[in-house]
Amino acid sequence: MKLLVAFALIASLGALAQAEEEYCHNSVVTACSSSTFSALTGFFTGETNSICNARFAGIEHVEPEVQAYINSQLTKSYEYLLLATHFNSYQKNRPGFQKLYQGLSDRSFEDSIALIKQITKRGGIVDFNSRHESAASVSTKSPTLEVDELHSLALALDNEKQLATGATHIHTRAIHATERDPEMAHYIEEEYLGKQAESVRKLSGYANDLAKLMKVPDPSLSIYLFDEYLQKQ
Amino acid sequence: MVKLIVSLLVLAVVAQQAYGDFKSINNKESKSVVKEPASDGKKQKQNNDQGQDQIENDQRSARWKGSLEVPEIPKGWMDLKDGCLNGMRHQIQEEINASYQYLAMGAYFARDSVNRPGFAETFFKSAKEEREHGSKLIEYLSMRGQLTDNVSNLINVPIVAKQEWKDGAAALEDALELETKVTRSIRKLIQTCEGKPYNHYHLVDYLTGVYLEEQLHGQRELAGKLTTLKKMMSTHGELGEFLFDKNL
Repeated sequence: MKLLVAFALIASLGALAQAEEEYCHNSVVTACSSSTFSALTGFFTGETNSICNARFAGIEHVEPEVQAYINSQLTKSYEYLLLATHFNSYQKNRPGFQKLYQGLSDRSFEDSIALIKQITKRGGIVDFNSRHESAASVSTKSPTLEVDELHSLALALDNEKQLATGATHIHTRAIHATERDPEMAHYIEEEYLGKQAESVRKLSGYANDLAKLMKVPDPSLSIYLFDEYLQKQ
Repeated sequence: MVKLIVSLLVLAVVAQQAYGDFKSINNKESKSVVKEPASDGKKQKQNNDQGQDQIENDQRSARWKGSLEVPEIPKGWMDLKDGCLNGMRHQIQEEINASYQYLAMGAYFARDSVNRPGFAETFFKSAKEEREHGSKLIEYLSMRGQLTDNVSNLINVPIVAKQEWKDGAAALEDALELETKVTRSIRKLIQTCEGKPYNHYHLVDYLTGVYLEEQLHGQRELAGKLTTLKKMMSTHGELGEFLFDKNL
């Protein structure tokens, strides 16, 4: 009797192995040992062929979007760094504005690394040279950053909105593509959307405040005081 | 039979509705995705580029021209220029390039099919450090009275030359080469900045004392790691790399 049960078990296991989900289980030694190589060839054909991969759910649909978003975050990170630099010159001399933009630059850089970890966690790869035609990517054309204080706030506000739109786009793809990806949607919600709503709101508040303060014939004192306020944030 | 037909009908209606919902979602999505400037006037503007526009309006109403005027101050103190300045700008881009290259290394070793988290973390850390180096050089230039103009083109997003490696040793070898390249570039910069007609003692001291110091220690560390790894890999191959990664 025991023998019979064991036999039935083995038979059912074999049948299961036919299904794709069990493919790794079935051919683990031959497939996984060559995974580095297949990942390498997969890079050129644009997909990972390794059978023992970490890909599941809707990763196929969100991967290009996340790739594009990583490049967007990196580009924005350096844009903010240069904006901070602009306000750190002796002619501008606005430590408050510098602090604000340096903070945004550091945040975008940290976020890029976090996104790289997230996409590789899901079995995806990163391509730093790709310029996707995706809504999650932002323009690579760098804007002129030599702007005055109020315009810089407007520039930053637009930037933050673009980044929020990019994250929203990934989220939309994750929950509306043919294969859904709730894990990615959750990650984007948890790590980005809330934070971005806050930074968009903060910058819009700053821009409106400063615009009001500057409705005077000579706004130099207004800007000086506003910069002092920004330093304390 | 009648029940069956009714339930089929209900199903069809529900399915159609669901399809309609899906379509409307799609429509909405494409609307927010396509960013035609000034395509449908007001709503688009309010959503996307309103910041700049509104400010322009506000300014017009306040009759205010733009930036505050830059007052005249003595210029004699701003003596960092020409070759040395261009060399510094070049060095900043070099550091950023190195940062991107390290990011690519980190991303490769973080892959599921590669799975070398120790290597990945090491390279992410290096990427942060290189960015920091670039950032500190930028701050130095600001301190010396530079970067009042031409800031927008100071850093360009580079093309990453390599995004795949044979194994951990190959990546460490590339990292060592990369550091050597950066060191050479700093040495050249030092030579430019201490040359005639003007010796920038302070910058040269900074580059020697802080940057070269870090480069040399970094190179020694990489060389040590690479040697240890290669020793293990020649006899123990994959196992050597596996253990090495866990101790990184």
